[in-house]
Amino acid sequence: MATTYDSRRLVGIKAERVTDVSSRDFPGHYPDEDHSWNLEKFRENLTVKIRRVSNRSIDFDLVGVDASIANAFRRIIIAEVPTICIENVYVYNNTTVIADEILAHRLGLIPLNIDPKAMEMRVDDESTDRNTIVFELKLECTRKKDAPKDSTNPSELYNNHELLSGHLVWQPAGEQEEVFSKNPPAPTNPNIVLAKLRPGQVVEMTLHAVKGVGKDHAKFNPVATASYRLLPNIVIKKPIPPHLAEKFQKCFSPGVIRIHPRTKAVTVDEENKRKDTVSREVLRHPEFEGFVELSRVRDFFLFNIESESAYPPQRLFTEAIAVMRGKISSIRRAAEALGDQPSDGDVVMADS
Amino acid sequence: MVELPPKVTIMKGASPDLSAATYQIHDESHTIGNALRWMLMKNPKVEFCGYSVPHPSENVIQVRIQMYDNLSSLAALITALGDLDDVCATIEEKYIADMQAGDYERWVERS
Repeated sequence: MATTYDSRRLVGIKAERVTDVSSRDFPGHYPDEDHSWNLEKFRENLTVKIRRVSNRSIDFDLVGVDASIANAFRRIIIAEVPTICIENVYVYNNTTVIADEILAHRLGLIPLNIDPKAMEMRVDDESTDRNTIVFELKLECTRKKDAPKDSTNPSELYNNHELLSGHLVWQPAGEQEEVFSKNPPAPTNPNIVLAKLRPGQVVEMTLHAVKGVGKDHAKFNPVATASYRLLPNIVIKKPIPPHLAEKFQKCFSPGVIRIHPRTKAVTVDEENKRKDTVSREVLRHPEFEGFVELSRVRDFFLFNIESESAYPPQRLFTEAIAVMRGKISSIRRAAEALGDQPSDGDVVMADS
Repeated sequence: MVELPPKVTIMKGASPDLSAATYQIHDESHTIGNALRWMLMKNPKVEFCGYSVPHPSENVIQVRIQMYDNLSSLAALITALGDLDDVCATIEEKYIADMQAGDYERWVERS
């Protein structure tokens, strides 16, 4: 049986426009209905369902929250969940064709496998073993003695003709050796090409990696993508004529529409309807006019998060919640402190 | 170290009983602004609530709150922040519970 949604939860999708985009669940919007904040009701309505998890990404449904809340988490994952990246590059020698600043920029973008929980934010450029990880980068390209005469393949002709992320060598300092003993700091992928070298070219650098957030620089962004979309909803208003069944099916993404093999009855696959792209192709054909209604469910968020950092994908959402709660508590503390002060900007003497 | 501005300030022009006031929150953006506005609007005692980011290069948001019955907007703000924290706690709790239930598809992605 198809799930039907309360029409108030639906964002209508018409051929040329969308309808009922904004949420209206505020007190006073509907007469004689109570829409004031109620934690019990919210808890009852809320569903979090994890769908798919891989080593890199997670898909989950967040149902029963307002877009502003879902969007806050998405924004926090992208811009405010901290990661570790190379921030300072000290160049002692670089005779490659890549300019220092370009190479430094490329080094900054390398994802590192360091758990940000194990480090502190660096303040005022004061480096300690708690907030800075040091890497050495040294490479010299040389000619291979026994290279075949007619070869044009650089890997046959030269040693070290590529500077790779795997060439970073961690230099433990202070207590780091102990803290990171289980998982020594290194790039998550050792095969990133940073520069190409030819015989005689040398790179010698010291790199300092620090903790930072995506709003400061995109290299600190812990994800490749963090996005959500609304659950598509397809309602067939009256039976599709059997001779049009296949044409109807082709208007949607594969797997969304099922056709009964014998009766040619057309139904929406409840499990697969989330796969629909809502291309609105079906609304372009006059023969389907009045047969189908497209919409999306306003409070049904299909999250997809792809980690590109040290965080396992399932941890990113909880990290975002922790950051959000941290922000709330700092604002709350400041607001509570305001309560003791006068409001009009005039300084009131303590003994007046 | 540079002295940081206070996290929350009440802007000029607020009514003396704070039944209508604009709060300036430093170092915040739409992330908190929109969520906070939504939670304040869930309060039936709030007559009006809106927020803005006055300029994209100033890392500040302004939240305007007007109350019915001359109630304190500051109290409403603090309540809304508390409720927003409850929202986060509830979502976190359900997310972790479903994660531990382990009823999801596992697959391997090349990285």
